[in-house]
Amino acid sequence: MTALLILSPLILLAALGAVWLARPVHAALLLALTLVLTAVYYLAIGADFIGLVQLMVYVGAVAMLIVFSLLITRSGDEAEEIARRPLVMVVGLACTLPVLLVLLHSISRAGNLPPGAAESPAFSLAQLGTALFTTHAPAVLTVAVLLTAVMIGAALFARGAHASSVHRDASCVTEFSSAPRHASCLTESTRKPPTPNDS
Amino acid sequence: MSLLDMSSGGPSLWAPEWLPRLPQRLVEMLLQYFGAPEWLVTTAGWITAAATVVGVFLGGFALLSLVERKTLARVQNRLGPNRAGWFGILQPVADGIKMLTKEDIVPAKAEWLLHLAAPILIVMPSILALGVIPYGREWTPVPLELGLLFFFSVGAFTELAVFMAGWASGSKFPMLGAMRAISQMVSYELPLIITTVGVVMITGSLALSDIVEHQVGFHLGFIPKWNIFTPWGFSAGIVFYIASIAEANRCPFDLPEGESEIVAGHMTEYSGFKYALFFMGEYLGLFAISGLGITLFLGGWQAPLPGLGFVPSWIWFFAKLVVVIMSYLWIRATFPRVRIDQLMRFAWLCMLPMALLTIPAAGIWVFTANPDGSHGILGWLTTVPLLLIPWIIITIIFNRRISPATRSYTFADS
Repeated sequence: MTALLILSPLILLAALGAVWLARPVHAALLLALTLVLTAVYYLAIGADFIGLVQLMVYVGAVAMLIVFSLLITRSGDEAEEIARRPLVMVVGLACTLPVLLVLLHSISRAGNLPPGAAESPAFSLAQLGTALFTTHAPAVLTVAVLLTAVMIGAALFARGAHASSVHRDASCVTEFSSAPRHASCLTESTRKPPTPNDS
Repeated sequence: MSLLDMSSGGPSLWAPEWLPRLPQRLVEMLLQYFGAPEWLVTTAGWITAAATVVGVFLGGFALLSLVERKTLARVQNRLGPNRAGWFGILQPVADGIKMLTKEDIVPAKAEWLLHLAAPILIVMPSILALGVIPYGREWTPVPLELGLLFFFSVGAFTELAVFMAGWASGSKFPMLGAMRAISQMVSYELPLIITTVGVVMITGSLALSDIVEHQVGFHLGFIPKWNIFTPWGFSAGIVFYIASIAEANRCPFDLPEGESEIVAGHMTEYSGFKYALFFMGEYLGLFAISGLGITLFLGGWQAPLPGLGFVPSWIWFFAKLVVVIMSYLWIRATFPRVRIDQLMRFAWLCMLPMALLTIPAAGIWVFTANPDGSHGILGWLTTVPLLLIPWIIITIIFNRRISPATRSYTFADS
């Protein structure tokens, strides 16, 4: 209970900051902070596995993905205001409200639990794994198919972009945005890579 | 056992075995003698145990910075630092004083809060990761049931810290360096984590002490039952070793700080002790990742030969750590830095498939085991070709350079 009292205002503040801050990178970092604090809460109530997985997946992967996409689409390194138009607000609310309602509904139903039944059930990682890959195998497989489809879709997008753009040497990977383009980057791709053993 | 719960564990009969726990025991006994309450004794014990680990590895950091320069100098046929103290032995002290007294510069365009937080956040995960490694039979600072998962979970902060350092500096070079560093870390973290899956499958536990206990014993009376001496473990060990070099940003994968290309990468705008903190994080991370590799594949704290068990187990751990770290230094002194495209191609076309192949190999190894746990010829006959043939094919591919050399980056064009 103490953990909830200390952490929930922090989580709420971080989440509000993630929504309201003007610079996208700040918002992304605060989102990461929200996720970290949620993981801390999981750890504090004894859900070690979920907490650590939350850290690994959301901080290590999802937050990095958001940051990467911000930078690659070039809205990260400039202080661009996120458009706060009424339409954006309406769409945001329309997406958020149903989720919030479902959450409130489930919370109100969970509130009927008898007090004092807070005994956490005995649980082992092996049990979780067995359950995932036997009882819930269809769900796991469905998610796997979904992720594969997403990956193929991303690869197709990248290929489509590949065909319409100039071939460039990979050493220019890091040349984003306004960095001066090195002359060799454009010529490099037209010839084969040098093979030292070819004489 | 919960994450926030720590077992104190009783000392074994033999004194040197629990020597590293001595500070913790002394503090606890002293407080008990003065009649301190129970929670104070436990908390002080934890803090002392944590301080022992941090102290040992900060000493190791200072020592390694000197040993590294001396070793590189020996390889390159020069003397290395030899002015401060005898044979330059006080060089780390001189470096420390220099770093502490340097001016701390924060660029005008920097975000000072993130700029300050980044070096702190980069040291923190390395120290946390060092806490869960079993250094000896009696000495695991924090014996977690989910130790391996914890190790990689806290490691997730490193990438975030590198990004913060690069972005908050408000300058081009740190940003470019951070992007390179993050893409390298993400690419090599994948094979690093996947190779550990095989070990977890064989052991059936995520606790690092269980992983060490599983490697107890000797084949034929003299070959240790370490994971590295199985086909899947050998393959996974090689992938883990290469990926750990890249993860620790060591040469030949030290592109993030490649000083001849992008100044110092994400550290360009840092000076003084903040700059030193980046290197502290790097070296502590190096200790942590080598310690994890030793735990997973090299039998942890166990003696390499039977009959050597009289030497305290933590001495074996640190002996192995010295060997692994010296091999890193040797590699650094020998190989030139790779290019970024070579780095990424190697990660995705060699490291990742080989890491993935260790999972079916480990599965076959489990299923072909005899009821008493020993392994017959069947396991070897199936797993060795499964791993050896892809290794040969990938080696041939990389030597012939038939892999694509050109790439396009749409987003980099504008």
